[in-house]
Amino acid sequence: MLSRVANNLYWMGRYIERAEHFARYSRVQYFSSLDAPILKTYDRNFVLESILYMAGIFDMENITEKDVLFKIGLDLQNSNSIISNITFARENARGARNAISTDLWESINKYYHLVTSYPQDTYLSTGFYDFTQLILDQTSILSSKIYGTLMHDGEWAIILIGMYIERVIQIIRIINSKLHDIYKIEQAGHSVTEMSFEWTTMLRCMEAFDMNKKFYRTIPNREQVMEFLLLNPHCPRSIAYSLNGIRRYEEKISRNESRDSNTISFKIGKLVEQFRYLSFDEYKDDIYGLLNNTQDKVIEIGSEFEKKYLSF
Amino acid sequence: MKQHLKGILDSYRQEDAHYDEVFQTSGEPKEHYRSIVETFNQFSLTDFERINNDVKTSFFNQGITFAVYAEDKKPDERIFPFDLFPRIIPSQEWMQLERGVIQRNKAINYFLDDLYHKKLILKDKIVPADLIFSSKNYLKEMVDFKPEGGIYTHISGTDLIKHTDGQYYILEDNLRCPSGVSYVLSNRVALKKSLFDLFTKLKTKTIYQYPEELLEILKSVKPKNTEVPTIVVVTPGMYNSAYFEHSFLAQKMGIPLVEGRDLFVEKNFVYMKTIFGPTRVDVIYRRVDDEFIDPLCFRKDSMLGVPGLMNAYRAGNVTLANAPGTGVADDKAVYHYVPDIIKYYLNEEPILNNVLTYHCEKESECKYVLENIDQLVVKPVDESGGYGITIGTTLTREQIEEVKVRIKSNPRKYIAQPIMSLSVHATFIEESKEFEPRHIDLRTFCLMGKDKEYILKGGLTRVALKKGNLIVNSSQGGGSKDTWVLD
Amino acid sequence: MHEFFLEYFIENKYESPVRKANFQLLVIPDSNSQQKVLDLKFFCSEDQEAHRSKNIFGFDTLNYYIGKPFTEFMFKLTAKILKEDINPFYLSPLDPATEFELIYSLDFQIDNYLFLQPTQLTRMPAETEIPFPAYAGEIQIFDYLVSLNSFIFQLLVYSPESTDVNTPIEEVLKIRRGVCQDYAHLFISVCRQNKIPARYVSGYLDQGAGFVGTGQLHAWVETLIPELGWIGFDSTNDLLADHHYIKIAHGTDFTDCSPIIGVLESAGMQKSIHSVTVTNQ
Repeated sequence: MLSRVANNLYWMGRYIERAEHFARYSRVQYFSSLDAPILKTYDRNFVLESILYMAGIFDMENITEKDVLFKIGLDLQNSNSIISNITFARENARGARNAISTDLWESINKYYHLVTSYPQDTYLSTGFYDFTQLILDQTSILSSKIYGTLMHDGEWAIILIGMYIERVIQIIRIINSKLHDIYKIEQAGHSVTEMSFEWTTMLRCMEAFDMNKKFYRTIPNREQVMEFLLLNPHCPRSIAYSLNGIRRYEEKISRNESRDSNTISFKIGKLVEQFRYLSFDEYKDDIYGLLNNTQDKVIEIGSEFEKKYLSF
Repeated sequence: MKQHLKGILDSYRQEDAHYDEVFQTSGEPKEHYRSIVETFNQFSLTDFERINNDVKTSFFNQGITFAVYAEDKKPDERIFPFDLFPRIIPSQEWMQLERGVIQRNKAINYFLDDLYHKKLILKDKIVPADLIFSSKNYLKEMVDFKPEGGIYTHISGTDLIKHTDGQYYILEDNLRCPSGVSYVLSNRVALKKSLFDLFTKLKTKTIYQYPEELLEILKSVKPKNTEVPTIVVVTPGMYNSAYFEHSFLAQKMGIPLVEGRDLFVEKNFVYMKTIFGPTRVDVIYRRVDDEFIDPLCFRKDSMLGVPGLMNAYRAGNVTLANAPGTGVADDKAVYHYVPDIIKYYLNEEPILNNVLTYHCEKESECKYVLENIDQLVVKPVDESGGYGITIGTTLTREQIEEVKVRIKSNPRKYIAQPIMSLSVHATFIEESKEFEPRHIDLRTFCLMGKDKEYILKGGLTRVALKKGNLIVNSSQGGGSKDTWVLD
Repeated sequence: MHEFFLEYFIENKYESPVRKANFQLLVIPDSNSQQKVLDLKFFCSEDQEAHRSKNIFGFDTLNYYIGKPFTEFMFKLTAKILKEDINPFYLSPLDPATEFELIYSLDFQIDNYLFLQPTQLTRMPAETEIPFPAYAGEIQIFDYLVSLNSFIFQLLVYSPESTDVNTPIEEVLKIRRGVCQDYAHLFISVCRQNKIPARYVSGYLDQGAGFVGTGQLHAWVETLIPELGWIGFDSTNDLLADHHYIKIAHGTDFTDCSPIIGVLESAGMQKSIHSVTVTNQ
């Protein structure tokens, strides 16, 4: 496989994943705020700020609600918008056209055309829910094409490495962003039930609410949500699960290279094991520290992977 | 004007001035179109429009698109319009065409070999030496170099038209990177899916094997001492207007699609950069123009090329298809001499006619051209894609003066031909929701390898969708049709 | 027999690291009937093995592909040269009319077309008021070229830094100044206009003999005279090329003889030092 094509596949995976998380996060945040029990969350600016924070936009002066929706959804000038992410995903797929199945290519291309031709007026008036649903549905189609129409070998593994690396980064961003919201609300002093609403929103942002409920069968609270999203090895939206994914697919590429501590495989393995044998008590006092440290390590693994396999 | 059978072709208005491919002057369909016309007439307009739209959507989703670039604008992504009404070539007619095209391309290959070695045709004054030596496409890098198997034009695209006299004429030769074959194959697939019933009425020759034949041709010219060659397609990249075709061909042949930046040359061998290290490359089907293929040798500012590629090529360590320097033979000024070239090398009469051509380089012919611009098509000799062509009858007085000034400033750059009346073919026009006559031409695809040749049965029928327009290039609003050669 | 020792040195320093690069050097002296190359040595700073290959005119180039980042590229070549004694007094056995006829025959022109076509760097401007001598077949070609050599020598003032490698003849004629390659391009241009095949030659020039243009590689011209073959003229010095002239390569103009061509992936500026030493032993 050409290094440039591998590079395209890796980034295709990352952009597909990024668009999905971004769409889900903004949509959950936006809609859950409409009938939230806490006064603070009713404050539109609070919600919009939170959405923009995820999008990496910090300049929020004189910004209207429609501006925010446009910036995160259909703004081609904003390289973090959903439409930009999908454009990048499709460009990368085009560059790797020959390495992927016709089926997968056509799905991505169709996805791109659906998004780029989405009417702006509709999106800003009544279409936000429908638009984000489109993103989630199309992403599912792509996932199934990735699993079902590609040989499960090098090309496939590289797409998935991209997706899992991006997933870890996005999970951490979302948790950070929501913890930031929760901290502000906690400062104002609120009841346990009211707080559980915020923990629920966090889970929904990761599509993990149902799974969490099934696993704990209680109202969500800080301890179990943090444990679930960070450490649960069976929740596909947890950090531990995603790190496992990186390891699984990286091994397909590195083909069991030597156990030298400088290798990418070694670094990934170490991180996976760290999460495997971690308990909530060990990090409850410094969740931010753990999250940031993990994010740094994953980013480092990503760039080493790029340097080793994807540079041309 | 004549009426036809009941059905969606009812409203078809024949134009007496042009050769109609489908209908006789009586208004009846020609024998080889009869069953197709009947089938089309069974559709209601609504059904037909639905099928037409489905096909369009399918092309779009498949990404069978080309980009039109305008300054300061995002490239506009368009499908190459496809007309569902196939063009049909009877078997006898095709045999003649096929023999003619192969004859022409064989002669051109000998011609190139001669130009880069003994230059006998110049010494015998059949083709003027100055014409060749002044061409920027005549490459000194190719002098005295023999490409593997002696093949220069592995892939050539010969454009033909049918005039009012019902005869085919050669419009031009494309010997560099002729494109369009991916549309031929995609059109056939689209037509099979949407109008499968047609295929039960008439038996057409298959074309699906083209990529396999191309791969065989490329294998046949592998460098000596290579057992199993690594073959790649080189594209300028995904922003090239023909990227779809490059990726299509690579995929159908099952070989990597690479860009210049994926390749490097070390010790005169070419390698591609893979995730597990360098892999040697032996044969390159390159879709990058000569001047961009090697910045060490040609344009220093080329970002598309591979430094050192020409050295590796000249050392015989890699084969390039087509060979560099073939452009000297598809120069529109050389076109005029092709019938003589055929006689010179093959000692045969040309099977296919050339269109009468005036060279502005020759004083007497230039004079005639300047005096009769309003009746002539004027073409620059070194442009492709239909750019810079003027058609006399469509020019205003001021435009005529402008063209004259351009010709006078650089006569070598221009040739002129009588306005050939391209034949017309019933074509569905979306605006009027009717079938109307539109001008068509035909690009054939001929492959040449070591001791083997192949010609695609049919080719790309390009259709000028704008009423009265004679320029069929996709960049100028042209579309295409599936082309059937009857079995 | 004359013996020379020569050294070619180049050092390029780059502001920001070069990601990868290809270099092609055309500095190895040619081996031919008039010169022999002994003790040839060369190396580059990147510890790369050079690949030696023939260019389109059959001269040896050295090629380096450097696939990892670097900020400095240094190359050095040394060689000992044995030069035959050359008597630059040529006498053609043909009379002027026969020479003229031969030069104008189609076959001769076709066989030598490469050195008869104007190139970007050897194109004479459409109009010039300078009365270059014209060749009309009244005198022998050799005599004509000797007078042309002097004419150009007197026309231009040798002036380092006044032009660069891409300066067209039009500009040179305007400022009437130039360096060896401008003299050579102008000489070639007039020859080709008069249908005498002429080719650009790059090489080393003996530094001990008081010639102009010895600090760097030198340029002169070879012209094809029927029966005599290719003969070297150096209008920078108003001389015929003799044993002081050590040829590297020839081509249609400078672009075929560039001592070093690099294709680099880099963003920054570069500083370049090069030097040539030729000593007579």
